[in-house]
Amino acid sequence: MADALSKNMKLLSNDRLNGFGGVGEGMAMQIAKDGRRIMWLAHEGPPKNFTGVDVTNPKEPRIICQTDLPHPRMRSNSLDVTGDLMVVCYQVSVPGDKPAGIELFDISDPENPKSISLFDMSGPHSRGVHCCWFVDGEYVHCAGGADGFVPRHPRDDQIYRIVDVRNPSKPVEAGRWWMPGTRKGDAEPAPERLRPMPLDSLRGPDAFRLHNVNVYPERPDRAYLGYIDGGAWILDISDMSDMKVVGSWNPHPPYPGFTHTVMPLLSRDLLVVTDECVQDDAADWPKLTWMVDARKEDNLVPISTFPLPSVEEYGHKGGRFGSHNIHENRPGPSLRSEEMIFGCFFNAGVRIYDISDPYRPETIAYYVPPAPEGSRVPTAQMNDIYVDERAIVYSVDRWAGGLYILEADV
Amino acid sequence: MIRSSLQIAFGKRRVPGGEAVALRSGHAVISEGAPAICLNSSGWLTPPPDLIMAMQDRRLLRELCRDGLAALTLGFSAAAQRATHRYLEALEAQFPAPLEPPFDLFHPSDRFFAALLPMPAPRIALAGGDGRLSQSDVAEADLAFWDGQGLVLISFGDGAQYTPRQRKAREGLVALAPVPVRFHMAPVHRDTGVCDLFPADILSVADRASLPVYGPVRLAPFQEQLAPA
Repeated sequence: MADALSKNMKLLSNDRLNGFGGVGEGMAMQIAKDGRRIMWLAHEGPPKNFTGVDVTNPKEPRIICQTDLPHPRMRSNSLDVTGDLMVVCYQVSVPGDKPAGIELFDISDPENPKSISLFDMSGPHSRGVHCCWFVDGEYVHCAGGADGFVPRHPRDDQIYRIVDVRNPSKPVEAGRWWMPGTRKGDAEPAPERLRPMPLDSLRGPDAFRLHNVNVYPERPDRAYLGYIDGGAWILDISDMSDMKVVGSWNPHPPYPGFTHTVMPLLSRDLLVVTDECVQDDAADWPKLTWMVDARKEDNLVPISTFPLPSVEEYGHKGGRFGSHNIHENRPGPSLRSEEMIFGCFFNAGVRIYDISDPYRPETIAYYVPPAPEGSRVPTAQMNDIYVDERAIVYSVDRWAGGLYILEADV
Repeated sequence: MIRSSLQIAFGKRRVPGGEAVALRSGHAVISEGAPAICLNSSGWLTPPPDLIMAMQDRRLLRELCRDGLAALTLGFSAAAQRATHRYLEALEAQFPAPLEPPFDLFHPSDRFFAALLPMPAPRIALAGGDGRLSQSDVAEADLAFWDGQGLVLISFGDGAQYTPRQRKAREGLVALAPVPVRFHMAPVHRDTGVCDLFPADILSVADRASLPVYGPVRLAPFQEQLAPA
């Protein structure tokens, strides 16, 4: 691709997704029964719900399925896949609206996903579900509102909810947890707002709600939570109906908030913790990716941050600049390196880090695409990333660019 | 082209300490017919003479091995540290240390020291020589064992952690090694038992040792005096 900036990475293909190239933060790969690799993508917003792309040949991706949302006042944003079961999140713009929750699909025939059930998480104070994690075929871990959960602040509506989908046609709640002090009626004091924002929109910063939660089969008794302005949390979920805090760490303040992902490196007792940049033009700089020493879970210690290009160079190119999603080492057809981290950084593109020395992460590869035609901003905004077990890198643009498939020389 | 020997560097690469970056690493050369590398092999531990002379007890020799392995293990290698700990615990259970300090040169409990040495963070250079190595030129693992017949490389994970360059390095190692090379994937789960962490033949080497051998150094009673009493 002309005008791309790259080091040790090359573009294999780019699919604009039939002109609906705005993709959220839901990417998951299915190995279909016939051996095809299907990349499932959740769109950033309406009118599209999700798209399935056959990426068996990464140089020639082919759309096999694209679906619409029920109405334009909602978004899917996130999805996850285990085997032939796909979970799609539904988040509405206005609390109380529907559908708000998770929908389960049978994707055994990838061209024709069949709805199995909808687990409703709507409520007068709920916007539904923003993100989900589903890697064991049994439990969906998600950031969702709940009927009956009344947050002290309307932006704090999405809490940690676990849904048992062992019977996919009848999902049931297995547990819920929220940051103490965020629910009306909690004994703990409400957390001090980090950067109070007007309530003209519920999206964006100034929130103590769950964003991502990660649970790995190698450590099924632990959940790792990115709780936006509440920082990183580790929970003991051995009893899902009575989860307990093991440890937490929060660099905000003095840093500007929005902890996004907390990914453990379980063979090394480390955490990779990302912030999310949520404002254009570096208005919320710096949004960092942190390396955290987790040898003692109840005393988490930051030991380094990942290097990024300078804010002087990238901060005012347009759109967002800074950390966001990383490849989360999920089980399945997925690379699971604990020596290399693959991340996307909005206008700073896709970047790969060698973390063999966690005190000194080093950039070993990057790819920064040019602004896609039709984007709202003059840069590519790399929003999410997935790496398969062949180390083929899949990344998506937030507004228009669709799916980028890359090969890294690592 | 098959090489006549493999050179294995193992142990810590960098020890953070102010501005200085210290190297602390073991080194092993293996080839067809080379003896197994065991806890009682010479060279991997170099305790100072005064420490050797102060040790009156075989149990302290075991502690010396534990400490030596811990010193070689990388700082953020939790799975390797847990596995090494379980390995030594299994040896302790198999060959309990004598309650009283025995003063015979050989003792059945010394089979403990005939167990294979787990070499942490092994790196095997496949190419280079001009000082420039890329990731595909170095085969790496979390632990290595050499039993005198084959090289066993242990890695923690489900096998999906390797990038193309790392996979190429592992394939390259098999192609040029003068001895059989086996890769063993061990689970990361914290409660993994020693039998799932290591191949059975690695765990049973000490059982098969023909003669118990004292530890990596002789205890003081069997040493020549370093200085006049």
